[in-house]
Amino acid sequence: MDFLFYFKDLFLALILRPVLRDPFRMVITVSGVAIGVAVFLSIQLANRQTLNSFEESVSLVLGRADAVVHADGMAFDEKSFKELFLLREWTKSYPIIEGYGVELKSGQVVEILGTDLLQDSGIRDFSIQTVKKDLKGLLSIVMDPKGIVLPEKFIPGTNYKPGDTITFLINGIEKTFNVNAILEDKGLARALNGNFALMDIAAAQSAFGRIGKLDRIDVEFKREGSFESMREKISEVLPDFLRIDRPERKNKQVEKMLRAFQYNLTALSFVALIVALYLIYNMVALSVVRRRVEIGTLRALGATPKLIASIFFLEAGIVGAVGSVLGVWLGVYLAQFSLDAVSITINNLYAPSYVREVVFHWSQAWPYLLLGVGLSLVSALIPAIDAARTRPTTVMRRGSYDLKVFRGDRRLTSLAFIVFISAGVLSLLPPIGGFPYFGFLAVFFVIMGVSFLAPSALLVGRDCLSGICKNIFGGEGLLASMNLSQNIGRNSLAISSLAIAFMMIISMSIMVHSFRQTVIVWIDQTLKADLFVRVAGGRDIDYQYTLPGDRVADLRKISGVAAVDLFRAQDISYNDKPAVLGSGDFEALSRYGNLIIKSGPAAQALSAKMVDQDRAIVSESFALKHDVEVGDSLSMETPKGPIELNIEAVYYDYSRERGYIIIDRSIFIKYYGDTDVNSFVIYLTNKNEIEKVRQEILKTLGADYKLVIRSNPELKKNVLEIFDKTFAITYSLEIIAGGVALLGLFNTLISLILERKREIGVLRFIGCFREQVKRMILIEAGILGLIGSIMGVIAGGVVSYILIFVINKQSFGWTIQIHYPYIFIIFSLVLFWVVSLIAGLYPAKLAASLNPKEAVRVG
Amino acid sequence: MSSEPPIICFKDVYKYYHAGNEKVTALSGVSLEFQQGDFVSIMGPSGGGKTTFLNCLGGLDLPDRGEIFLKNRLLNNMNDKELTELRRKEIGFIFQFFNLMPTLTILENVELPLLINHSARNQSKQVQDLLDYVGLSHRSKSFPAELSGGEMQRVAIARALVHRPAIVLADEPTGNLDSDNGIKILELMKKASVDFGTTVVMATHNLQIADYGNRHFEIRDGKATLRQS
Repeated sequence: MDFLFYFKDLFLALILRPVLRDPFRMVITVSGVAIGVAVFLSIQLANRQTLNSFEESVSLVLGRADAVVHADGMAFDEKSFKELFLLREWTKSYPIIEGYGVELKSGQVVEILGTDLLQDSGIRDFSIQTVKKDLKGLLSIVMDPKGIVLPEKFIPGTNYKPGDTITFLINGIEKTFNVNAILEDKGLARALNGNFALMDIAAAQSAFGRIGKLDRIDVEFKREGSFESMREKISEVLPDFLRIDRPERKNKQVEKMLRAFQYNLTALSFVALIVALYLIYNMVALSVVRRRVEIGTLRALGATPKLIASIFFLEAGIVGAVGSVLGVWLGVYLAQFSLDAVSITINNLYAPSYVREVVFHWSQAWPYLLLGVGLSLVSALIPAIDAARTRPTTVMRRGSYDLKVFRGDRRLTSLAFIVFISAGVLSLLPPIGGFPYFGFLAVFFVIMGVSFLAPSALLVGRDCLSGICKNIFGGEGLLASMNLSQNIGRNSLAISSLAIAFMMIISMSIMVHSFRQTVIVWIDQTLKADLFVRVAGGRDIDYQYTLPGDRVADLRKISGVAAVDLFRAQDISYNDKPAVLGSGDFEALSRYGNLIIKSGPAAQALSAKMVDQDRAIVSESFALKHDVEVGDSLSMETPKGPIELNIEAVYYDYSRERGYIIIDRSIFIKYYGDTDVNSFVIYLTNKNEIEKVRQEILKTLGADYKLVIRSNPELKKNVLEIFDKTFAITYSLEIIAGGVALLGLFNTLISLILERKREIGVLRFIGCFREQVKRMILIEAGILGLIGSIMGVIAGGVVSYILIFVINKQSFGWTIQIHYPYIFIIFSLVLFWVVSLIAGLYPAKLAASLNPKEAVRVG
Repeated sequence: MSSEPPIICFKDVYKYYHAGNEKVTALSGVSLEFQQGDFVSIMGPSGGGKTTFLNCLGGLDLPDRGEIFLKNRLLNNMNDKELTELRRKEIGFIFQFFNLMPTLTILENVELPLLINHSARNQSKQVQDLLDYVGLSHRSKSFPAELSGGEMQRVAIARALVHRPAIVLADEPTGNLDSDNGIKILELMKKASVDFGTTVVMATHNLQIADYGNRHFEIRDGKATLRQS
């Protein structure tokens, strides 16, 4: 207790006051930590918010269901619901129609749930505002074939009230409904952030054109029993193609699907945090240097090494705590931007995401505050120990200063190479549970290797550049280059952080550019059709909206149309992993279209193998995820019984990471009995007739359906726009990390100047102009920036291979051809280097303004 | 007294500075003249004004009153650039703590004033000769950390002389050395002043060391007085 009592006074005098004495550097350090924590927190919040929103919505929509019966995204006959009555002693069942429409006033997509409203409150929590306790009001809603119920917090700005009408674009057709009631803001009403509406099952079947069909049956168990035994009972009364799953399965699938994407973002955001923590190290290390005499005096007065170390630990702790608090505050704001960006990607690649606002309570801040403070303390470890080991007799002697020059550390260099080799070995290891843990570890090892190699890189840089600098810039050039080996630890950390931030920028740019170029080549080679048509308002990532197949097939009669390829697909589960089952016209594909085949016969030869045959081709990502290849067979349940599909080819595809199984349309109709199509493409005999054919399509189908008709160039442009939006967030994260690293360089240069005051003073004594001192610091900044950038480019090249051929391949199953964005790399190299020089401007000015006689007096 | 014009001339020089709210007189009406080749020792207690005197002479401080001439050039009106130029060409410095650049080799440390003046290419022989002169040519590739205190001060002397300055200012040059090494350094400085015709102005508070000079002044409470040896 005595210790604490005295430490309170010492704290003020020895820790707080010195920290406040240098507000400029403290502000920079705190800002760096704040940005690092903010970026990390914002990504975490956005990720968690998205996932929580999915999970909450799924659990609200599923209510207290113990099991879910479905046909993998396909509607099935409602007779199955009646079959479940046989099990009424054990279970209670609730029929479900699920669909969506575009609310025309807001243009937003709304998920519509059709349930048996009279029964449904038994499984889902909702309360209709206008309904009295005797359910009198409910009956009129149920009876209205156009009735709909909206949640209290429906899409902001729409303000629908009971008695209003609401219009949706459903399956390309405008449909108007009567708003009969409002759901109180609790339970089900909170699902999907208000992008939700409730209908009675009969009205929903009519609205979505699924009369006599259901999308799902939610089952509640009345008796205690294991899920497996109940599943067995249920499966006995249902057709084989219907699946009976646990309700949490959907959440698990979403979580698994988003895992790779979210891990990638987390790893990227962590870079900014790591780079920021270097600032803490720098600040504490400089503080130790500047207060050496003070440390000596304290030691002479009886302060223990522990007390000395704790002074600097606490200094780091204070700055880390202030930075972390600010970072959390800033992170909550940043999270809104991150959430928007993350939502774009998730909407484009995975599943519809309706989360709009970041919900944050300060009670959630603790892990981030602890992380920020904890890592700050870790980064203060070395300088604090250094301070504790300082001998009072050495430092109190006025004029004592460090003459040691770093001559290299072979052990560190060897360690760097061992770490690099380990990264290589790790990148050869397979994924665990489909997740590239070893790939991420390999990237981490490269980061470590870069850090270990930094001192040697400085020495090599010094040896290579000293002659050149001396010849070009004279004394200031020589000094700037030779100074690289002084304060090697600080310089190494500065270039490490620059190199790591730059490495991430370069590797991500190579990865994204390679991916983009691969997609460009892919769409150029595979999108051969002239017109691409689908129902308006439909989402690219699902296959709910359909057009009647016979009417689409009639388009073949339009003059100028060479072929129409009808596409039908549905989301399925294969081996409990999400996949897409698609069907198309292989005749048209082989004759007019193209696919890039990885293994198997060329696209032109596929029709002979596929038409009217129980065969399939699969996308590369499917083949990788399910470990199948040409010659293997796929077993599937269909409404017409089980089928075995032989795999004829594996083709390249970059549209969905879950992977495709494609069969001939004739086989799909044979086993699924569904002739509708989701979209179709048209090949023209004469390309000049494109407008005429477009008008013909609108004349025939457009009268009944709103359609999106895109020409080949329009579709390609659209694909690339989506691609660019999807990857925008990765660039933002890397730019932030780069900015923090440059703050680090700025801080380093200031530290070096303050440490080298005496040398700068001597230079001024012996006739160095202020301009020369400035130039020396700028050359030093330029050299540090150059070495950091070169290391970053090299490491970035290596990491881009790991990202493309290990992490991306194992996460998504896509083969990406490597393409280097040379212009971007050169541009960012120059930009990074110029910004390094700019970061040196203020320190250079500071150095030039030092009073030489004061500087030389500094002991 | 020599009939040659003095190389250094202080005329009624005053210099003040502030310590807190107190105005301290560092130099009070100092008037002195030194000839070329003089080895001048400036004695006096700590805080007496020796360093201020050297700073004014080195163009690092300007007097508040009075005039300072170096080779007949008035320092008072010079701006920072002109004073730096003057130091670069006419003045060499030797410090108590040597103040060598730790990252440069001995050769580069000696060469540094020439490099700063961008004239090293023409004068590399001069650097080598000077290293020979101070007896350290065999250590030219070493770094300061590898040298003893005496050796480091010899390097500092070579650095001070490399650009053939008119004057060398030495502030307690033996203050950080043992007596044997101190004597060797003083001998070397004395020899250099003769060999190079350079005026050496050395500040010290040690009477024995001051005896190495051929002219002796004492600065006490800001006033300079000539002492007879």
